[in-house]
Amino acid sequence: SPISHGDSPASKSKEGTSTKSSVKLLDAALNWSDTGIEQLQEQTDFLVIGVVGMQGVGKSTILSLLAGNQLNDPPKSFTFRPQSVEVQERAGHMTSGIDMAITQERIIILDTQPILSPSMILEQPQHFKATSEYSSGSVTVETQSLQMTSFLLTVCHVVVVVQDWFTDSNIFKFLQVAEMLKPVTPPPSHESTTTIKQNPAELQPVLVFVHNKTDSSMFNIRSIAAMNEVMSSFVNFSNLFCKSHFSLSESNLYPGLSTLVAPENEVNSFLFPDINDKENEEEKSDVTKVSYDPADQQFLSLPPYVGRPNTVLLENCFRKMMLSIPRHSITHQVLTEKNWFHYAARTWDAIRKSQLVSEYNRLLAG
Amino acid sequence: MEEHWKLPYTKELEDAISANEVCVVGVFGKSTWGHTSKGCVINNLTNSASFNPHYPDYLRKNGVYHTPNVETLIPNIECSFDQQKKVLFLHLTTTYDTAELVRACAMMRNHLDNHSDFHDFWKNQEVEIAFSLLYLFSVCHVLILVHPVSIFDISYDKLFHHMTNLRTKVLPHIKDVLKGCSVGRDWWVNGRPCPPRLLFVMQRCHLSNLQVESSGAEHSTKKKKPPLKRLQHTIEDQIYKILRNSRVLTNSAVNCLFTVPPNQAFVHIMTEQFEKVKTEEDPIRSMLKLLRSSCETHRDPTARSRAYRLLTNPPTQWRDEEEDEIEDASNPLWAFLSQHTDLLLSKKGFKDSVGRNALPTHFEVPSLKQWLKVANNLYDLFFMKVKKVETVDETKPDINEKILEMRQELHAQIDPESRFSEARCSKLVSLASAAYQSNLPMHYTSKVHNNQLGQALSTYALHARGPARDKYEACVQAECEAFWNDGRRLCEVHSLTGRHCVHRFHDLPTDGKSQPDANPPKMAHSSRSRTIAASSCGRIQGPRDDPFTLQEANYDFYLRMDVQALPVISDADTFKFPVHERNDKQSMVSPELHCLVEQLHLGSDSSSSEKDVAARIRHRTVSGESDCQTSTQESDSEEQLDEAKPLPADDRQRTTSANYEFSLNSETMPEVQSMDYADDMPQKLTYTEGMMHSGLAEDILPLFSSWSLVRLGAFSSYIPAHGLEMPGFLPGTSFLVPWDISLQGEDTGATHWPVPGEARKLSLKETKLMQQDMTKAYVGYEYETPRGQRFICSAPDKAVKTSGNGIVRDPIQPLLDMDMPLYCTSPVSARSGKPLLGQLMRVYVATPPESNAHITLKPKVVPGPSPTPTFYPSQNEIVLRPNSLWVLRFPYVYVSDSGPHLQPKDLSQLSAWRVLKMISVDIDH
Repeated sequence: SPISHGDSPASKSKEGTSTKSSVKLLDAALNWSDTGIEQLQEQTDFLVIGVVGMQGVGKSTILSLLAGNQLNDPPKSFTFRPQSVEVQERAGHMTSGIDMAITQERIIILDTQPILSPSMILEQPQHFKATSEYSSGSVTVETQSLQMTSFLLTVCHVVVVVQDWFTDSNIFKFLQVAEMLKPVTPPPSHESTTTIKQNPAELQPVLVFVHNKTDSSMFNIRSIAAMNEVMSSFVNFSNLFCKSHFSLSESNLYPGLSTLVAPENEVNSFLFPDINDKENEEEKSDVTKVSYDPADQQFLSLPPYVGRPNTVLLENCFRKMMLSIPRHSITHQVLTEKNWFHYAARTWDAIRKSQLVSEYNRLLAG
Repeated sequence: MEEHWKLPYTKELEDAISANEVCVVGVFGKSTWGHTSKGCVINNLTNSASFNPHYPDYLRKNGVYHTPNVETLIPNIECSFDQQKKVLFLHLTTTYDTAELVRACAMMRNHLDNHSDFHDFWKNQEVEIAFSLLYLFSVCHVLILVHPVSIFDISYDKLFHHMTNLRTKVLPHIKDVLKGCSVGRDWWVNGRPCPPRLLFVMQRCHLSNLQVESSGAEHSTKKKKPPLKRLQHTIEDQIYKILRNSRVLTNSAVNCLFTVPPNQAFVHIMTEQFEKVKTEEDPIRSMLKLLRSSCETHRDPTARSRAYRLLTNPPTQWRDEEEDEIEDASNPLWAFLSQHTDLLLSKKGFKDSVGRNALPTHFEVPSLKQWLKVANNLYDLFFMKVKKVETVDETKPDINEKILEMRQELHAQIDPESRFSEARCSKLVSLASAAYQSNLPMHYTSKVHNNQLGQALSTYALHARGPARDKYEACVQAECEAFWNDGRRLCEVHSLTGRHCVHRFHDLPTDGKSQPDANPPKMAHSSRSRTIAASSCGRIQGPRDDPFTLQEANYDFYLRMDVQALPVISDADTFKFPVHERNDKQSMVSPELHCLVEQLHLGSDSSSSEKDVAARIRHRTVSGESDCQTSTQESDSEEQLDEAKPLPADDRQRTTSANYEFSLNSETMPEVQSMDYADDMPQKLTYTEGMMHSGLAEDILPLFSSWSLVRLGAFSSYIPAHGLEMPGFLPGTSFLVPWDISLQGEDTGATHWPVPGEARKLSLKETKLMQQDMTKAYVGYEYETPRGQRFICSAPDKAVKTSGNGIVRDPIQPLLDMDMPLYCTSPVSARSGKPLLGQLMRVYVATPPESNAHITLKPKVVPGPSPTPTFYPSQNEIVLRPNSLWVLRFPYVYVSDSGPHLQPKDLSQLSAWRVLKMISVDIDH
């Protein structure tokens, strides 16, 4: 249901429903869809968050947390639907194209299709018998993933990179290429009056690395420090804001972490356990059946040991930290939500037609 | 044979073991550390603990790596032989394993400081991985690709494609090696014991309904298979289709890098085992679990006594008991692998070719001994570069080179990023150069250059991407520098008045002749700024070029002018400020000795650019003519110097006579006499090429005097009614201020500030009496503007005033008691309306004929706010000869070690540039 623009009481009354469902920004064929603009307003205080990750890492789940869902909610009520059982069994992907949802806090959330997805290769029969000798579907999908990621790196204030194991160094190499293919931010047009004087090199998004489905052993501070070592090494030559915007050592979740990680080397990152493991936290048996000794009962009724912060605590902490990320401007002008939408549409068009991308694709196909 | 060992295997084999036939299984892929590392997958297969779980050293050593040892980062192959199963497991660890990745990152943290090095390092790692995988594919029957999550990683598609190409190139060399290994013909022809089968093991299942559905699987009758099986089948489908599409898999197994079985499972997803590993890894968790189960077991009222249970079943065996039950009976992972190894060990072989006329595929199951020989020899081939084997064999270097070539070729293939970045950045160089060259003047300064360079670099940075960015940024910089230096560069030497030279970059002429056509051209500096200035004596004016050297500014210009001012002032009327007589002596010293002097006397800066001459004031000790007595370490060389330095007698005489004449004329000049060097007094030892100021050591003389003091004539030559009859004076400002000096001892009246009108109150007699005891002198401070306007001030910022017929009524006292400003705004401003600044250039003193009044000058100038040094002439106290009109000419520029002291930019600060009070009088009785 569209929200009447600039009319705050009206928009407030609809807020309850505004984050519940998402609309398509890009459809499955990666064509731009204009339906989303109806939900956007003519105001400038908003934040765009996008997501990058491989198939089944939990991109939609993480974004749903930002949109206000709890991990305990039934999956069907999530703003961005997580993989259904059928899709899981098909080893398929749930999201195609880009879905957009807007929260009460005016956060525009973009959920995207997976990068480097094997099931997407198989869904693209038209590319199969392509020109080059070695023009496999994987090259097509890699190029498409790069386009999608470059787009997000251009139009989002924050891009969340989700991984489900630590770590595939290819993800970092992939991000480097996507950054390389990122279009040049257009210089300010003369019509605009509110121009931000800024070094074009600083019009970059903040990157946050989220490790989802992390094993309990990885929640150890030495493991986190080792993970940070790898990440900080791979983002060292990136212009994206990968450090010091989102600090685990300042979050108090992991006491002692700050003694192992130097603040200037700390990469924005966060750890989530496998939510399917949450039964471990909650499982409670009827202790009276096991033992009649009150001392035993007391011991047995303790919550089970999980060796990491509680899921609900992590979830709340993540939401808070994401919302408090310092906001960088990504364009030379101050944009309203609607301006942003048009800017995003132009950017997607430019990336699809980009010579850089097609040049790189040619090199990839070798 | 021990539990596990590394390739190459160098020890002796026991015969019993070496005869065993082996099926070789290679394990590679990506994995995390700890109990989910790849080695544990093999442990799971064999129910043993032959491979240690890998942990990053980082966790133990807190990430301290001082020296990076790249060689330790090459892929590593661990082996373990399961004698019972007749399977040899090879375990490849690379930087795809997170433990190794952490180690590499920590090790290289401070050693990859630019993007392209960083990029190259990781691409090299990928090349190493591809090579070690190809090795594995050449010696194994079965390969297991381990992946941490249940998805096919499509980056393997590309990797396998590159490996397929690489294999065709390496095959001839493999065959060469196999010739000497007594393997079967098929093995030799194909370079491998059989087309290996590739199996996929995925550690974690992504199904969320695993637990739920597996319990209630029975009543979901619609579905034939459990979800896990369905998932395995879909993934097998995906893998097969993708690999077929990229032609990594083809119909003919012999030509493929590997095969997958057409009618057997080749994807296995670990579920229970993996869960078990995960829960057991955390010691706290497993201890708590034990404790809990102990509670449950031992507090059960129906259980047997606790003591009995403990005796029969000690806690250490509680878990083993359960495990023993399930061992072998249900090890799904081994069940999955054994279908393939059994085919080999039972000599059935793989029949993986598909299509109508499928050819049979060869296979060979070697003995362990035979296999080890092949493996060791091939290891040398594949890892030669890294190992740097020193061989005398003439054929080997050749192979070495070819392998190296292949590595480079592969490096180029797997690195589209660099090629893209190179292409993109190299195109930008000309764009950035154009940005640099736009709107440039013919010649320009480094400031303009740096500005434009900054623009060019930001244009470049806007578009440049990727690892080649730094390389071409250096190109842009070099190209712009070259453009600037190629005749576009402006000479940036500043004159001593702070203006820069207007010529393009040039050298100074060595012989005084300018050669504008030379490259770089030879010419003198010029700021194109000209001023009008008067001579030392002030009698004539002429144009002066903006000076670039101190000597030109304060000495040479006046030397030229004074010659033109007629009548020439005689030597007798010129006060000689003491200077260091360097030139005369040096001309007499032989070149070798001159060098010696240079070395001796700390003069190391012979490469002085013209700009620095003024700033760089050198102090050198030059041994005086008569200080042989000084007993220093240098005495020997000094003696030599003295011997070799015959000071010409007439020169000495001339110097002395000049002083003698001067002292003759001045009747009492104790200071001057003391300064005179008699024969028995040592000459001052050190000199400065600059000016005398308070920042220098005491016994220093300049090479030339920046000051001049000349006598224009007798006292009577100044006619008070006419003032100074010299060019350039503003109307009415050429008059000296009269100074009444009382010749009485207590000349209180003269030193008092005169009350206006007081003089009139004196009676005629008194006045007369006073006049008898009084004598008159005249003093004038002359300021000169760049336009040659001159004016005399009677007090700070106050031009002298006359009443009609040239009678100056301004009091003398301010001139005697106050510091005067060095710069003073001219009463007449420039045409633009801006005030012109006059600089104090001359002080005139007309000394009275009476010989018992001695006027003393102590000139001291502080050209700037603190901490500016005080400048003074080389003789800082001069008693003036009576009955004369003296003119003391001040330096044009003041230069100390810190460079020229320029005139203030802000007129409100003028008072900080000041001339200290300098005139005093002594009366003889």
